Amino acid sequence: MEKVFQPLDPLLHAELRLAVMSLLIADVEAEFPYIREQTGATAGNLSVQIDKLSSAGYIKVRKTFKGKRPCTLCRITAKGQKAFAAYVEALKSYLDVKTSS
Amino acid sequence: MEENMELTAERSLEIITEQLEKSRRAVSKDTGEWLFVSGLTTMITAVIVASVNYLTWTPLAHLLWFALPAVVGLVMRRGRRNRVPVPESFVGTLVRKTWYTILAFALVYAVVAFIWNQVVYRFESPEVSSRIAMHIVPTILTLLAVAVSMTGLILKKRALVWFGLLSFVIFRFGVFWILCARLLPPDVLGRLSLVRPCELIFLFALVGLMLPGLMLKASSQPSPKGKGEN
Repeated sequence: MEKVFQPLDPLLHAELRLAVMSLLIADVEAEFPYIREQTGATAGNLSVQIDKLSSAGYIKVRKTFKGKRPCTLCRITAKGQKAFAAYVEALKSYLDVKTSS
Repeated sequence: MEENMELTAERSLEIITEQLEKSRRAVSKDTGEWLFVSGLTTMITAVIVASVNYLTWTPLAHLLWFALPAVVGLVMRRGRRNRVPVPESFVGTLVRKTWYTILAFALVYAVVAFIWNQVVYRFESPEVSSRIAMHIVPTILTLLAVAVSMTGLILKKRALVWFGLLSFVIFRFGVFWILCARLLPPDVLGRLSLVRPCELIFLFALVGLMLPGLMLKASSQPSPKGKGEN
């Protein structure tokens, strides 16, 4: 029987967006500088990818102030958690084939 | 990290594992710093309390212990002023809640026992009071050793579990005093007993808090490849 591959969410199937989601899945709410530090991305690129994830409803971005400095906080949403779980499930189907072949 | 649609399944899995590991490492490093500062501050407080006790013969110096949580909090806050804060995570929350619970128990026990002992020593004879007095230090050291071991279990750092167990055995069951009696000359032993229990707290802070903190900090540094467990 032919193995059926589950489709991979194109929004998550990108290095930086996947890294951001993987970070946020473990953390409750992370500040923008922390995500930048952990992913090693540039501020501009990270900002664009965060906007894409936010527009899809995968993460929620909250802008606040820390003293006088602006502070951007990111948090994964329930929709984002579901999408991430589905992505990992889909990933398994690809890895199963690789390991069994 | 650039956008790459040619991402393979293996690379995707690698990214997920890498980021989860980074998150855990950040929590470990944070906890390590916290343990290190707590240990160092406790050791300094032990020296101050012992000195005041030795010079003035007043037990009031022991009240300084109650200021310890505030001092640790202040030192940590100052040290982290210009750093990116580690976000709340499941593991971090678990570690934090474990310590808050244990410290709350320790604080309540210390306050109640301190008041109880003052009342008992004032109104009862020395024979009776020595029997019914509450032993503050052994109980608190036990609680702290439990917290250290639990932190090790949560962070999957086996060495930390052993540090907790070791400090519990050495300082709770009198192994420390047996070793002292065997190794130290009587006059040093006599002087050491005058500052009791500060010497015990000092060494516990070193073995149970500061050294595990250093170890945790060191083991949380990224490996040369930038990934993988330490």
